[in-house]
Formats: sequence, structure tokens, C-alpha cells
Amino acid sequence: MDKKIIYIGDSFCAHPGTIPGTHQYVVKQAFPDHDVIVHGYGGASWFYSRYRMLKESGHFFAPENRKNITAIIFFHTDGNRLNKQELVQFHEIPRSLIMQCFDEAFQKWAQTAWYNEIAKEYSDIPTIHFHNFYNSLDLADLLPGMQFTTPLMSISIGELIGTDEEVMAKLNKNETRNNHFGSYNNTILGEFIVNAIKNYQTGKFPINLSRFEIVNPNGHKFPNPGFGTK
Amino acid sequence: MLKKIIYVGDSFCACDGDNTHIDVVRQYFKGHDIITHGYAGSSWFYQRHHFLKDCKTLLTNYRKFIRAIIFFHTDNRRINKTHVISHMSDLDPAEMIKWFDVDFQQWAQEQWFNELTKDFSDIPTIHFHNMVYTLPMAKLLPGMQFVTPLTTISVGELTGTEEEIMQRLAMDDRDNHLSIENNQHIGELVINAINNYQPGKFSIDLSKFNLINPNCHNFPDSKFGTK
Repeated sequence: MDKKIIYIGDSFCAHPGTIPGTHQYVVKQAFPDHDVIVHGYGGASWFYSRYRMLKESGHFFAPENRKNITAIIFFHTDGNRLNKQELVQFHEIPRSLIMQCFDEAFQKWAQTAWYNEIAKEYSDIPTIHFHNFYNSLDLADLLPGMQFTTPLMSISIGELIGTDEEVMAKLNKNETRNNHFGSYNNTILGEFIVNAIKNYQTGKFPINLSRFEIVNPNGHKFPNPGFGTK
Repeated sequence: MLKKIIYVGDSFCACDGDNTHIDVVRQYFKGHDIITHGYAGSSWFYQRHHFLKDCKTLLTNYRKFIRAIIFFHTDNRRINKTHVISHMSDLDPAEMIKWFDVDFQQWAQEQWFNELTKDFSDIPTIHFHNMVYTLPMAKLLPGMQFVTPLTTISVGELTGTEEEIMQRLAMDDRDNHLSIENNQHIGELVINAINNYQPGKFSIDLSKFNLINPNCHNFPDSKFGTK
């Protein structure tokens, strides 16, 4: 198929469009004449996702092919992950090395540079942006295209109940949901993306949370304490 | 307000005392403030952080008073931190590879060069490449730049085996890695570049410098020694 919809991000879009009950599947069903290409990797830094996208899908961005890209869907991750071309989780790095090498100001600068690169390189292609966490929202003005400024963590945590610790455990080691959402919210998010592609409009928009199944009213407090229900 | 000449870089512009190239410029431009942000062993991000932090008011409100910014571009194998100066080689090699990604380091320095073009094209900027590694990215930079690496001059002053030269570079007692005479020539080159500012890429005329090692062009590849 000539037409492409490309996903890039972390675990919020880490499943291929072949799995029912994922937002990628909903998009694939809505655009049967498209290849849905997913560059979403659990725990990945933006640099890793960028690297995989350019390595494996770089030819789609060649001048003669760009017109076939219907949209790029970005799921922007936390900027404080390890920027490497291999997938390394932060907890795998010795603490002493983190102390020696990690600099939050540099991580922020690098993510800012990535957003500037997106604006420079992809402004001719429809781009749809989600902020998975709160900490990329202050860079939102740098991004081109259509973006949703309600962090997806509000929805993901909104599905979970328990103490803060129990909610964190469900998000991390005990996570069983695809893309950190239940099937229902995956479907709603998929419909949301389909609508964004079909009615593409540049600008910043909140996500209407009333459409989602949310049982935890404190999800918006994350990562500050008090995001649990107990 | 006095006009400003600002230096940003690593050990190639870290010394501004008597007989350094910065002192030569200071003596010539007597009515100017010379502001130095040269830090030995530092990453470009460390230099950038201190330059932008200390010159914030100047860059925001008084840009027209900046006569020139002189960049001495370093290699990208240094740790990009704001408060610590260290090099990748300071780390245990087995540990280092867990953290560093050379392609990310390269990408980040390219973005720094893009940032220089985006944010400083309205100010005369003069660029030196301290080592060969930044030359492939030279096209990203604004302003006037010299594409002869300064290590060619620095190594050109030294004789001995490659190991002996590397040792002397590591324990360098020369200001800015250059002899007094060659510091003088770099200072004159900077003065001339400021007075006859012209964007573009230029070679450094090495015939003016006192070089005794004919193999200095080979640095950092092999055969840069004289024995």
C-alpha cells in the first residue's frame, strides 16, 4: 500500500495495528488502504524511537514519497530517558554512572532540540501529537501540527484504583494493558485519532475526558502524590 | 557601554593572561570588554550553559554592543553537564558504553550548531575548530570560520613519538595549547577577522606559524610524531 500512517513513541503506542483492542487497530480498521507503521517501544527514549523510525521508515520521508504519508502520530515521552540507539532502561544503569553523566538541563535541551527538528523537518506533513506525561507540555509551543495537551497519563491512571504505590505497581511491573489503556479507552483513543486525521486542524486542543472510562478522579495529580484513590 | 568581545570554548581559549591570544586581542581592542567563557576539558554544553547564563542580559538587551563572539569548538566526547567538567575517557570504559551513544553525542552537537545559526546570525561570530571532529558539521555554522583545526598548530609545535606527543598534550604547560609565538599569531588572526569580518569558510595560513613537526596534519590519525 502506498499510503502510510506512522506512529512514533514509547509504550503508549507500542503495539502493532494487528491487535484488537488497541488504538492502532482502530486506526488500521478506519484506514484499510493504509499501512499503519508503528515505531512505539516500551521504555524507549525519544532518541531511540527517532532512530528506529529514521532507520526503518526513513525512505518514506524521501521527497518523492512524503506525499504518501497521511499523518505521523507522535506519542511524546518523558525527556529524562537514556538517549541511545539501543533500548536501555534507566534502572539498568548503575546509580554511580547516572550521578556522573545525567544532567536534567541537558536532557531538557536535547528534547527541545528534537521538537525544533520536528518543526523543521515535518511541517509539510500532517503531524498529530500526544503528550504522554506532563513534563513535555512546557515545550508544546515548539511543535507543529495538531496536538492534544491533556497528558495521556490522566487517562491511564484514571483507569486504576488503589494507593499511590499500588497504582504505580500496576503502571510498571504489573502492567497488563496494551498501550497502558484498557480495551475501551484504547478504542476511544483510536476513534479520537481517526477523527484527528480526518478533520486535521493545526493547533492545541484538550482531550474531552468525558468520553473515556475513568474510575480514578485523581489521575490528573500524577506525578505529584495523591493520584491514587486510597 | 563598552563594546564586548566574547570567547566561548575549551582549553584552546581557557587562558587569558599575559602573552595569550586573548591578551593580544585585549591589548588591541582597548576600548572593549573581553569576556571569556573558555573552560579546560569542558563540553560544549557546559560552555553554552555558562555563556548563556552569564551573558543573558547582554544577549537580551544589549546585543548591538557585542562586537564579536569567538567560538573555539570542542569535540563531542565530553559529558554534557552544566556543573561538572569531565570527559568520556574519565569513565570506566565498560561503564561508559552503558551511557554514551556516539551518534546521539554527534546529533546533539549538530543541534548546538543549528542553534548558533538560529540565535546568533545577527551577531558577528568567528569560529575555530579545535579538532578535526567538528569539521563535517562546519556547514551548519553561521558567520566566519577557520577550517584548519587548531590541533594542527598545537601538535605542530611538538616533536617526539606519538605517545610522547600525546603525553605532552595531556600534561600541557602551554597556555591555550600554543606557544607564546603561536598564541600571538592566533591573536592577530582574530583581530584581523574582527576588523575585516566576512562570513564564509577560510583556511588558516600556517606559513605564519612556527611549526617544527611536519606531520602535524596527520593528527589524530597515526604518524603525527617525528620519531
